[in-house]
Amino acid sequence: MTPEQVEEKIRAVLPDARVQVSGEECNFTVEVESAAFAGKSPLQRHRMVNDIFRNELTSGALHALSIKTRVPSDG
Amino acid sequence: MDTQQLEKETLEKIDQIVKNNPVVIFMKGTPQMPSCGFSARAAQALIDTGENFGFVNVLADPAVFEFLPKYQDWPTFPQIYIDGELVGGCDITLELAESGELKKMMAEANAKHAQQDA
Repeated sequence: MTPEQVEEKIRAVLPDARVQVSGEECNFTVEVESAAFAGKSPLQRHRMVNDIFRNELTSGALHALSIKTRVPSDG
Repeated sequence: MDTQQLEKETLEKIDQIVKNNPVVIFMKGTPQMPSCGFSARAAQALIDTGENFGFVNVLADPAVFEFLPKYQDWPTFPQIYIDGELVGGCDITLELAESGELKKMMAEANAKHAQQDA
């Protein structure tokens, strides 16, 4: 996958997301900021992102996805 | 043994490990000889708390490697369980370690299990 594909897939599910992708090939770090994370535990937030890449993680197309999540600050 | 039977038995085995250990990490390799950077960092965070924990080397057990992702529907390794609950993978464990929460959760789980065993 390319970083652009990773970002596209996230924004297809979380349209408001600000996404930063680093890494390459099958090993990415994504930073995702979305209002959809409000009130969610870290585990739930990671599940939301993992679920977007379920097929890629299962097939091995992605074998490592490091995830950082944030809610947009209203400050 | 057919695949379905193997899956059922493996998931039961994983469930027993999770329930019998206050803190357990399923990782690639061992805390002393990790085989993956994510497993290494998560295991180090557990070690740094000074609290006791157990580990399972998923590379040493092909059935656990195959079926663990189905156990709590979590697709990647490592997986860290405290007091029977999935805490998360490497990222969440490191976040909890940074905030000091990890040591607290591990200490509470260890104390609770020690009481049950007494």
